[in-house]
Amino acid sequence: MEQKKVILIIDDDPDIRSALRVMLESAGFVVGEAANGEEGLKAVQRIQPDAVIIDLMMENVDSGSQVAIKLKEDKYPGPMYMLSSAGDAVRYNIDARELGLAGIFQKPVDPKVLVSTLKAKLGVA
Amino acid sequence: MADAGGKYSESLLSKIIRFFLRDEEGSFPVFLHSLRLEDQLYDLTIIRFFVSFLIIAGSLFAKYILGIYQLNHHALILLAIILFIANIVNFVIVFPVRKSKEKTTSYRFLLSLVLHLSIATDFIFLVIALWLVGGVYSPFQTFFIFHVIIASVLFSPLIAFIYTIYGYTLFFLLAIGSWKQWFPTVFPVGAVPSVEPPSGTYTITVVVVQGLLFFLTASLTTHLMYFLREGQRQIVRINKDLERLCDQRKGFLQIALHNLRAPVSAISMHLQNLLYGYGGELNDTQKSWVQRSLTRIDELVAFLHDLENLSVMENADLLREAKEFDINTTIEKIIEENQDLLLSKNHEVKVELPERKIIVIGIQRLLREAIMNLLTNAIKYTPRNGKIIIRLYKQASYARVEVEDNGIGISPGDIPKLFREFVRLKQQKIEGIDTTGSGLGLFIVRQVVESHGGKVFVKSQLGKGSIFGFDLPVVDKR
Repeated sequence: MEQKKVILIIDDDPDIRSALRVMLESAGFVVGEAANGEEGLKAVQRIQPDAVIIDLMMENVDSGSQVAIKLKEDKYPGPMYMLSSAGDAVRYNIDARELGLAGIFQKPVDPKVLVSTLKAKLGVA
Repeated sequence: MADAGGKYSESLLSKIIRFFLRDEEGSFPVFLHSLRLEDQLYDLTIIRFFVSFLIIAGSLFAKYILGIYQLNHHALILLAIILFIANIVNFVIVFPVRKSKEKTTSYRFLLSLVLHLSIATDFIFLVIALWLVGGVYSPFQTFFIFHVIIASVLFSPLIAFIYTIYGYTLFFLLAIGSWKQWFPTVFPVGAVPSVEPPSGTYTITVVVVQGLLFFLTASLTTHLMYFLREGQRQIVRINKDLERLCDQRKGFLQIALHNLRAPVSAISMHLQNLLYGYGGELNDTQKSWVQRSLTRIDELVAFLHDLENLSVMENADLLREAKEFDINTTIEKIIEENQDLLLSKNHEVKVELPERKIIVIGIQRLLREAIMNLLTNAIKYTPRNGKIIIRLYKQASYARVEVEDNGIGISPGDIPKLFREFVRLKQQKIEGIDTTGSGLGLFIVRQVVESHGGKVFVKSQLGKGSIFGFDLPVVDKR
């Protein structure tokens, strides 16, 4: 039996984490959660997720970008996705290429889009 | 004022007025009284240079132009040269201070002293000049009024009245001295009605009339200046209040948007989970209720998004933030980062970019948002399995960005309404087309594009599709 893919969600909003968890678990993923950037970086070391979803705006402005930069420096092998709220893109110049991101999801995230994107990227049937 | 970018010829008089009002584009015009001390002195110095030349020219040409004979040219030219030299001293003191950013208290004291000395000596120069051109007989005595006005404009009412008394005393001594023959009188033929010393009656009449004129002028001008200064103080205070209120409003909008975005996203995502049956299968009625809630939440999300964009635009400092960037890469990145959006309705998306990079100048994140808005609209208003083309090309000195779709199109009557604030077109319900929105999207596109010196356009045919786009000036790299 194929081993389930693990997705780590780094977001300081428990309701967003819980909604994403429901979407991903329903699609057959295993989900890990972290409530801030520091916790998220530790969780990546500990659970070695297949993909990471990071909220751009957490405890500090733009802290999601900092987490992505740190993971890129640490040579994290999996795809990283950024979660951005309405208007973040226009307020902060997020350069997905520079941050090594596989994509950006706009909140509120559409479950179908989220699941199909992750499945395609991780090669899940 | 001309329109932005427009050209107009300006008369010399208008230029002179603008110079003395310090009326520059975008700044508040100020009159002599509210200039910085160094600028007041500078303006006065320039005027005195003109006066020196006028005295010399007047004394040399008066005979030919006005038919005045027996003018004491040497004395008048000497007077003008002394005024000119004194003025050079003023200029040497004031010019470096105007350029320097640091102004110490001792420098301000020096400038203030020089200003007062200039005004005080001007009255003496004027009395001597008046004596040389006919004293109390001369029409030039009205120039005293000009000096009283200058003093009233530059100084407080008390100081202005002291100068008025001082100037009047000098005039009084000249008039009485001429009558009593305390000093030799000079009456150039043609400049004065008589070459005889003035009579007592005439002298007293002139002294009384001039006295009234001096003090009425000083009183009127100081009052006017008081109201002008008070008015300006009020405008400055009201401006500060308005700026504070504007900042408060911006801050409030920021907080409101920040606090609304997170819960709205969470509600929407939980409702979607409910609709997709992740929490157990819903019956049709429940699904319909959840779907209706989601539709309304999506409207709110779109509205918050547009409000956020407007707020960002309001705070963007184009002059400080603008940088050169290539618009080809910007479009490539938009396509890369928004694959989910592009594929959401199974549209065929084609990107046509020129090989050569087109460089524009501006705030990239704002222009990216403008392109995103056009792209989102094309996706939204095109039924599933449609065709969308994003095109970039150079046309003359402009970069043209176009987003073409084969969607529902817009009726010719509605086209002029597009790009306006809060405009929502009345559209029929079409299967697969979500027509909800804030009515701000295209308005934001126009604002962004026009703030970058560009222009938006639209071509559309109802039922066939649309081309929305904009032209932006390119940076010519040759």
